[in-house]
Amino acid sequence: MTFFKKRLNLFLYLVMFFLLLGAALPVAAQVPASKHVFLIMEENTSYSSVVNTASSTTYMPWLVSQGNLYGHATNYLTNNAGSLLAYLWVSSGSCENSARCTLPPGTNNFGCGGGSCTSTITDDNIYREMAKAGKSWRLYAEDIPSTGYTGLGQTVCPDPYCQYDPHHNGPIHYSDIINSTTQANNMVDFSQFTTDMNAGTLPQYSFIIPNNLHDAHDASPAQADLWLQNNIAPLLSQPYFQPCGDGILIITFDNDDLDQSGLVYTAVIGPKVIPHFVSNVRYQHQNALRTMLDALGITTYPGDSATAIPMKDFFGAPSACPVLSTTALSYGDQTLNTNTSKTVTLTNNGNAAMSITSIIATGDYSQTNNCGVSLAAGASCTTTVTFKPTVLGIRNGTLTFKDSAPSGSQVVTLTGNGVSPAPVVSLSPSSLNFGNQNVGTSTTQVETLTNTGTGALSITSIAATGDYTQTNNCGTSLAAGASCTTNVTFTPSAGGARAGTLTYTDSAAGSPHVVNLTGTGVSIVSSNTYVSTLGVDTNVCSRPSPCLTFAGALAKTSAGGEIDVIDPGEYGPITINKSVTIDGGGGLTAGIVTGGNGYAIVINASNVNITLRNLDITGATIGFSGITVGPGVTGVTLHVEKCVITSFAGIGIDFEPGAGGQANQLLVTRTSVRNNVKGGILIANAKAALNAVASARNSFGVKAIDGAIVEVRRGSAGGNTSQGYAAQSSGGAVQLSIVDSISAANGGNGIDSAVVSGGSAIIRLSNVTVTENTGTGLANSGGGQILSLSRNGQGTNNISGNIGGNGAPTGVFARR
Amino acid sequence: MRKFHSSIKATGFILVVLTAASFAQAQTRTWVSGVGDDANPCSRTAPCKTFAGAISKTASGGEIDALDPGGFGAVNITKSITIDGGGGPVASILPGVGASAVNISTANINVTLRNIELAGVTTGATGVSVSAASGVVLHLENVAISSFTGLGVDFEPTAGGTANQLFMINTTVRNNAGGGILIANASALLDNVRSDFNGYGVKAIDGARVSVRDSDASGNTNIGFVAKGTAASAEMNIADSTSSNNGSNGIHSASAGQPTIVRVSNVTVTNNAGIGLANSGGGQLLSFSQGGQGTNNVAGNTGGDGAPTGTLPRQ
Repeated sequence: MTFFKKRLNLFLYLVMFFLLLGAALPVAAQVPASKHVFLIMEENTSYSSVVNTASSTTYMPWLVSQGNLYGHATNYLTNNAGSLLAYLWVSSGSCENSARCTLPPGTNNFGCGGGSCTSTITDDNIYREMAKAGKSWRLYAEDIPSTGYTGLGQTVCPDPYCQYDPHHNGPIHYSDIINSTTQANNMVDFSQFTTDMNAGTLPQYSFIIPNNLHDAHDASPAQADLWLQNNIAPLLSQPYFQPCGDGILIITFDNDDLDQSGLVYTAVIGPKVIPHFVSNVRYQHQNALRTMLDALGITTYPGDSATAIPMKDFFGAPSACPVLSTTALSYGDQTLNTNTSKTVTLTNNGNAAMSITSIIATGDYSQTNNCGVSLAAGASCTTTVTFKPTVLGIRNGTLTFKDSAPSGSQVVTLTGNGVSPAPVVSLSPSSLNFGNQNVGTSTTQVETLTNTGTGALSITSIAATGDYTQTNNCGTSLAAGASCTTNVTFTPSAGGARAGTLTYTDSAAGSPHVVNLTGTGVSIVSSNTYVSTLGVDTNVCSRPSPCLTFAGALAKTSAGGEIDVIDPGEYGPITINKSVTIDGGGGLTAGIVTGGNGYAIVINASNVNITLRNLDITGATIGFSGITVGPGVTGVTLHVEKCVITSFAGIGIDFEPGAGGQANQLLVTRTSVRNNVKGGILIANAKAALNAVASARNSFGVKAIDGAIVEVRRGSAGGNTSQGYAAQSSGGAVQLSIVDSISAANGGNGIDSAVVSGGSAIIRLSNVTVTENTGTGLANSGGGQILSLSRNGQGTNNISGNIGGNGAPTGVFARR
Repeated sequence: MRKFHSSIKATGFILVVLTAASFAQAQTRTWVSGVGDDANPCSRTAPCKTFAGAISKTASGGEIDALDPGGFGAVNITKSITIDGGGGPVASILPGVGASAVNISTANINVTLRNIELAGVTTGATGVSVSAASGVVLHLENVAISSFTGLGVDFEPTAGGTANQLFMINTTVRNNAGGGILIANASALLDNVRSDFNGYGVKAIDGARVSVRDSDASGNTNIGFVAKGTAASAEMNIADSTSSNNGSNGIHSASAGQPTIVRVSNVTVTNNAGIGLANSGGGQLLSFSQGGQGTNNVAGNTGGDGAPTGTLPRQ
């Protein structure tokens, strides 16, 4: 056991030793992996010409500036005279002609020269390897006549494609391209390059050949440089050429000024190139080929690239390269002591693992992360930063990554604003539309109030207007995050659009909060409606679907229609605003009881014709008035048939319409009006006919006042506490005719004609019995007249037995 | 399973009714029905069985209505009330043997009976019995009172004079052995009343002031209309009416020590077995006259037509 433990400890020491050793030793330089490799081949310019600042025609200032900014080779020697051979060297690592070079292993003689080969090259090449590896490539050839064009001859100007030079197109000499349309179609015009670049669809390997005017072949190197600046500079703005990007651009020349093997300027450009690097290592085109193959991850090396060293000195040792998804986070307003989280992604775009020393958030910010202590090349990790302000106001902080990248640390600035807790009202939906609804019927929708804020919401009131009512479960306070509902009920009172509002008055910003309510009342009225004690007022008041109250039915009864009663019951007080007949039915007790100080029936519309029939209208000694008309209405015709109007604290029938005089008419038939404390029937400003009307035990029986013309037949007025029948003028004309009737046992005068203050009062009697009254039988005052119908000069009325005296008519009128 | 559900519903309904009852002890309008129950609150949906059961649940000044035809039992009225049987169905009261159908014994109340049949079926004692001290107002509208062994309407408050009031409209009193309508110590107005085939038709006695219009007293075994002052004066005024076919006098003014006056106008008195216009003990029977001539039609009475004791000129 002890022995085993010692062995284990020794093993651990060794592991730690090698780990420390690995961290401390310099790692050899290598070409970084890249999915964005670019090669541009220029023509026939020596190194010395390119860098010759004294020459306005050969100096290539842009190229040199890029070579200085990134890296360039000072000892790059081209292989063979003749253009095409350079393009073959960077394609298959060979001159492909045993007479021009010692054929590298694996390559063969295809008789190639500066312009063409005697046979199609079948050796391995970069295009074949790219295809085998499933990697994309394209040749961007300026002015190539068409996509996939493999022609070998150059056209003569002014042919539009005359500047395209097949001698500078390597791929068209390989069987891979000639025999495959797919591969051939990787050759496109240079105009496609900008399109692909902007679309983000550039291939992993792009081979760019400017035309003869732009590659220094037929024009000056300075012009070639200008073309580079105009067409290639934008490439360097792409993300893969930004820090930590993987872009690699090599710009070189096929040969020296005389198209001979010589030193040429070669720039190596990319974020991972050691800045300002100058390489004195002897390189040739096969080294450039090897460099690109290594970057692209191709491990089968055509021709001499198998043994050529890559240009790795440009890149130095692998390094980490951290990239943040953002360098600033803004949290906006945040309620004190609440929190909001945002994330930052850290990606290692380098080609070496990055050790993470610390991740620290400052201020009112805290962080959690899944980064661990090391982030592998190409890997990402996420840091969640939480803002929880502790005091009001702007709260700044930083998130700092300390790591092993050359820069050492990455910083994200953090900003936010601490605000006080506050409620926020959110109403859903923002408005309610109830659509069409029958008048007098109801439908309900639900409005939801949510406090999306951070403080409790105080609710002062919730109110609905118009034809809308509401009930709610909101209470007076709603906690942050809580919801409550309001049931809004639409009961249109009339047809047409019925707008309203639901208003929340509360402690949140923007109060009052208003929800617009819309709906359309649909009037369904019929000429004959019904009530029943088993009905409901939301019904249409039809015979099978009766309503519960007269008031409910009236709304659904057309003007001039009739409300009928199905069964005995009490159908409530009603205000009548249109012509209508209400019939309690002959065999029923259809009642109205009026409680409190209320009115049983009020007629409040002008120019209406109303019939009340077979109704038992009871005040139960507390209701104020049985039937009330006026004073604001005119043109009212009221029929009261076979009704009882009893026990009101006020008047049984108070018929006092406004101006219109005799256009107002009251017709009462076979009706009892009794026990009404302020009087039985009071008529003003109207014509009235009372037939078989019993008026008993009221204050007065029947009283006609200003503007009334009343006829009574077969009536009885008995036991009233004041007059039985009275005409009383206070400025207007009053006429009361009584035939075949009786006034008996009243507490005041039996018949009383009085002019109180101007005007005239005339009572005409025919066959009227006036007896047993406590006051005077026939009384007149102030010039009021009582005229007795006479036969042969004698009246026809039976006046006797009145305690206060029988009195006498003031005159007679003759029968005719 | 279905039946079980029904039971649950029924139980729920009863609970609701009982709850309602506990909150509605005195309503302004109560209801009786032939299928009601006096344990109910007498509401429209839970009616009572009898008028007596309903009255205790009806507020003073309120109304008891009948939902359907039925016999709703004798009732002792102790508060102002309206009892309305409804115009169509027959709501009736059949008292027990020797009992009154409606008994009013409380002073200062105002009672209406409307659309009701009070049926003594030859065993009940009295149709409407008023024996209260004073201040009684009774309206009888469209009521039929028949076949009692005693009186149809016995309106005899014990005090208060004409503060007591009887109003009878469109009412029939018939076949009551003791008599049709007896009024004492009250004022009364009878309009379109028929009092037929009773012991007598209408009798006004001590303290009564009765006015009759458009009414009949026919076929009674005794007198048609009679006033009789014994302990106090009595008056009866009759207009536009008929007294016929009675077993005794048609109209009789019978003073028994107190002034008694009957006034008649446009009354037909005919075919009575006794005297048409009779008076006794100094009772006055005054005929309204037109042009010096009475206005009444008195003829064909078996015991003689009699004559008014005087006239009153019409005015």
